[in-house]
Amino acid sequence: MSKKTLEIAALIVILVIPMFLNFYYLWLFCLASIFATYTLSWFLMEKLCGRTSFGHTLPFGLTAYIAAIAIFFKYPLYLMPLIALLVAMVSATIFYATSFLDRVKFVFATFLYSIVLWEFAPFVVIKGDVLYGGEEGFSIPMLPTKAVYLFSSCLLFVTFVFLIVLHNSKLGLKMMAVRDDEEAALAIGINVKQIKVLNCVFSSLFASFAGLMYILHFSHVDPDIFSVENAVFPFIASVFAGGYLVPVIGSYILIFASKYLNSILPQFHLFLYAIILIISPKLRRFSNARG
Amino acid sequence: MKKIAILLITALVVSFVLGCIQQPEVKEVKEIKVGVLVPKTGKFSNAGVLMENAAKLAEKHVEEMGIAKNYKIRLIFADCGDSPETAKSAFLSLANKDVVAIVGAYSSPQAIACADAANQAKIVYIASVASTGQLEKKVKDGNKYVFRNAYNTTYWGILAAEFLRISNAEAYYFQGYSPLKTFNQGMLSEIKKRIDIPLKAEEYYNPKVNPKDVEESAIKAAKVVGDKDVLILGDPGPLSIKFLKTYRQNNGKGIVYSVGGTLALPQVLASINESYYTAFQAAVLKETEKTKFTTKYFKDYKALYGEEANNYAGVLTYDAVLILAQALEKGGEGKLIETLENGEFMGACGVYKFNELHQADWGSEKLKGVIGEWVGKVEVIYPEEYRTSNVLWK
Amino acid sequence: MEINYLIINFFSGIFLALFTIGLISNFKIAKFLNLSYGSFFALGAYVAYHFFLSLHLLSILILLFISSIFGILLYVLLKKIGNDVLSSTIVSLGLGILIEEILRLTHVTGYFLILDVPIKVYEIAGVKMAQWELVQFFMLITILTILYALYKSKYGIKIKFVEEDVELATIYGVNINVYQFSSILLACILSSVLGFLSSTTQAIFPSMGWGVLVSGIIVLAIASQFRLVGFKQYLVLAIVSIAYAEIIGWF
Repeated sequence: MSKKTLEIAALIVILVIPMFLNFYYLWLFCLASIFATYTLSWFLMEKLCGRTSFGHTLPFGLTAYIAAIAIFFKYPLYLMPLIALLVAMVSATIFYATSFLDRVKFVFATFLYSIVLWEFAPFVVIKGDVLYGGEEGFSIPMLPTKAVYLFSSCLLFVTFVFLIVLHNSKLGLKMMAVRDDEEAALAIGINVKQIKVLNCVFSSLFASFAGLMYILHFSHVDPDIFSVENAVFPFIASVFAGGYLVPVIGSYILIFASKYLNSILPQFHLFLYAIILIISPKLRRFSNARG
Repeated sequence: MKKIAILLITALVVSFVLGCIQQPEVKEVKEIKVGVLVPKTGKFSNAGVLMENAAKLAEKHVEEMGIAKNYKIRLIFADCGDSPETAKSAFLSLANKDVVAIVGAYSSPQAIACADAANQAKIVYIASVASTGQLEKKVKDGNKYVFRNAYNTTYWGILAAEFLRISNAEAYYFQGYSPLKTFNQGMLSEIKKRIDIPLKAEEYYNPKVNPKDVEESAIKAAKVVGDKDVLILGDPGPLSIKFLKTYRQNNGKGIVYSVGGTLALPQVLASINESYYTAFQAAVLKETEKTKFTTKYFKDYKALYGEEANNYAGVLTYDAVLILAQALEKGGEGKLIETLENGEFMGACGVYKFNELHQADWGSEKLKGVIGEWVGKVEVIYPEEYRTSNVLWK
Repeated sequence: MEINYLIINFFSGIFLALFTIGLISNFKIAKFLNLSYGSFFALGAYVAYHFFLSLHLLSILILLFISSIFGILLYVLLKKIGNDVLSSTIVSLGLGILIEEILRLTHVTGYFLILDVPIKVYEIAGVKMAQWELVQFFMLITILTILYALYKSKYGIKIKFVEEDVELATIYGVNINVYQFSSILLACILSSVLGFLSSTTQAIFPSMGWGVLVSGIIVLAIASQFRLVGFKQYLVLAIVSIAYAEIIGWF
C-alpha cells in the first residue's frame, strides 16, 4: 500500500470516528475539519507556489460574512456556493496581483489585508428592528451539526485528494518549478503567469468553501474571523511540514488544544499557545530536515 | 417496692420524652452542577476576575442562606476568552459535563454564540452581561433556552435619557467607541426617542487607526461641551479613563455621564484626579440596599477578596447564580424554563421577572438600574427612592 | 481644519513616528516584523505603575534593565529559532503573547491599574499639550539627530549594507549580529519607554499595546513603499507618520 493510500485511509478514519461521538466532540471535530480545509488551502499556495500568505482570512472570512448577510436577507441556502465561488475569484485576483511582489513583501501585504478587513468589518451594519452587524456580527439559523459535518468532511476529503492528485500531476510539477525558480521555469517554457493564476484560484476556492462551512457550522460570524490568530493559524498548523496529512493533523491538534484546554487549563492555555508559536519554526525545520 | 415503682415511672417518663424528640430526617440533597463562563484570558480578563469571584460568592451565599435546600450547587468554570468561538466551545464543554444551566459570557458576540449553543445542547443559559438585541430576537425565533438578567441596549438608553431629564441638561454630546458602535447607536436612538434636548455632536473614537484618537476626541469635545451640557461617554472599557483625563485637563465642562464599566467603579474613580462630576450607571450600588442580598454582596465580597465588588458584570453574574438556585428550588431541574418564565427571583439588584422574550424586566418597580455621581464620594441620583443628592454641576 | 486640530494631529504623528522607528529598524536591519513591540509598550507601563511613585525618574533605570532582559531574550530566540523573516515574525508574536500572559498572571485583579500623577500642561497656540507629549517631540528630534550622525559615521555604510543585502554584507565582513542585536535591543527599549511615558494618561492592562502596534504596522507598510535605506527612511517615516495622523484626524 502506497504512502498516499495510507494517508487517505487515515483521513477517512479521522473523519468517520466523530459520527459515533457525542455532540460536543462532533462539534469540535467539525470545527477542526473546517480549519483543516482552510489550512490545506493555505498549504496549497505555500507548498506548490512558494508563497506564504497571512491573508487567507480574505477568502475564508469574506465568504462567511457575505453568506451570513445573504441569509439575513433571506437568500436561499443553495445560492451560497455561488457566493463562495465569487469571493474565491475576487480573492484569487487579489492574491495574483500581490504575487508580483517579492516573497517577503507578499507575506506582509497579505497580512495587511487581514488587518484592514479586521478593522473595517465592524463598519458593516444593517438597520432592522435592531441594529445588526457591527461588532456583534451576523447570525444565521442553525443547521443540524451532523449534516454540516457531512459536508465539511466531504470538503476536507476532496481538498486532500485534490492536493495529492495535483502534486503528482504535470500541473503540480510546473507549479513546483515556478516555486523553485520563476525565471528558470519561464526559460523552459512554463507559462508562469498562468500557473500562478491557477494556484491562486485553487487556493482561494478551497479557502472560500471552508469559510462557507464555517458560517453554516458556527451560525455566527463577527469581525474576529479576520483576526491575527486566524491569519497565522495555517502556518502554525503546518509546523510539521511533510505530507498533506500533517497539516490536517496539526489543525486538529491546534483546535483541540485551544478549545478543549479552555475548560481544563483556563488560565494557561494562551501561555501554551505562546510557547507553541515560539518553538514552531524550530519544529518545522526539524521536520523538514528529517524529511 | 416503692423504689421500684419510682424507677419504673422515671423510666417511663424518660422514654416518653425521648420518644417525643423527633430524630431529624436525613433528607437527600442532590448535587447539581452549574456552569459559569468567565473571560479568564484575553482583553476582558479583568472583568473575568470580578465575575468569577462574584459567582463563587453566590455559591457560598446559596449554601449559607439555604436558598436551594434540596440542592447542593456546585459551580464549574470555563474560560470564554474574548471571541465567540472560544465562548461557544467553552459552553459546549460545560454542557458535556452535565451541567443543568450555564451563566455568564461577556461580550455580545459571545452571548449570541452561547445562545445558539444553548439551543443546540438544550441547556438553559442566562446572559449576565451582554446587551445585544439579537438575544431577544433568538427567543422570538423559538430559542426558549436563553434568558438575560442584564440590561438590553434599550435600557442603557433609557437610563441615559433619564439622567438627561433629571439633570435638566441644556444639551448633550455623544462620544462613542467605534468597536462598540452598534451598541452605542442602539443606545443613542433610544435616547433620541425619549429626550428632546439638542444633540451637539455624535463622535466615535478608534485608537486602532490612530493611537491618539482618544485624546484628540477628548480635546475636540472639551471645546464643544458647555457648562450645562452632558457628555455621554459610550465606552465602558479602559480607554474611557484616558478620555476623561484628557477631557478634564483641557477644561472640559459639564458632566460626563459614563455608560458604566470602568468609570462606574468607585475604586477607579477615587484613583483619578479628574473624576469629579462623573455620573455613571450601575446595576446596583452599595448605597442602595435594594434587597437583603445587596449589602451582603458588597460586604462579603470586600471581606473575602480585599477589593470593592463590581456593580455590573460581577453583581449580575452573582444574581444569575442566585436566580438559578431559586428557580431550581421552586420547580426542580425538569421545569427550569417554565419556572424562570413565570417566577420572581430575588437578587442583589432587585427582584427579577422575565418577560415573554426572556429579558429581565429592568425599569419595573422592583428592578431598576442606578445612576450615581462621583463628587469625591458616590451620590445616588436615581432611582428616586434611593436618591441622596440632586445632580451636581461643576 | 482649524489650526489647533492641526497641532493636535501633529503631536499624534510625532508619537506614531517615534513608535514606528523601532518597528522599521527591526524590519530593515533585523529582517522581521516585531509583533512583540506592543507588549514591550505594555511592559513599560507596568514598570511605571510599580516604581514611578516611589523612585520617580530612577525607575527608568529599572525600565532599561527589564526591557533589556526581554530584548536580549527576543534576540536569542530569533537567533536560535527564527532563521528567516517569517519564522522570526512568528517567534516575536509568541514572545509578545508570552509577555502579556506573564503580565496578566502576575496582576490578577478585577480592576485596571491606574497611575494617577499630576501632569504638567503647556499651552501652544491655544492647544493644551501635556509635558510628556513635548518630551516625545524632543525625543524624536534627538533620535533623528543621532540616526543622522550614525549614518554619516563609519558605521553608517555598514548599517546600510545590512539593510540592503545581509548576505553580501556578511561576505564583506560586516558583523551583522552586532547591528541586529543593537537594533532589536534599542527598539524594545524605545517601545518600553513610550509605554512608560504613556502610563499616566490611561488605564494599564496587558493588551494595551496592540492598538498602537496596528497603527504602527499600517504606517510602516506605507513608509516601506519608498524603498529607502539609511537616514532618509527615518525622515520619510516621520513625515509619513505626521501626514497619516493629519489625514486620519481630518476624517
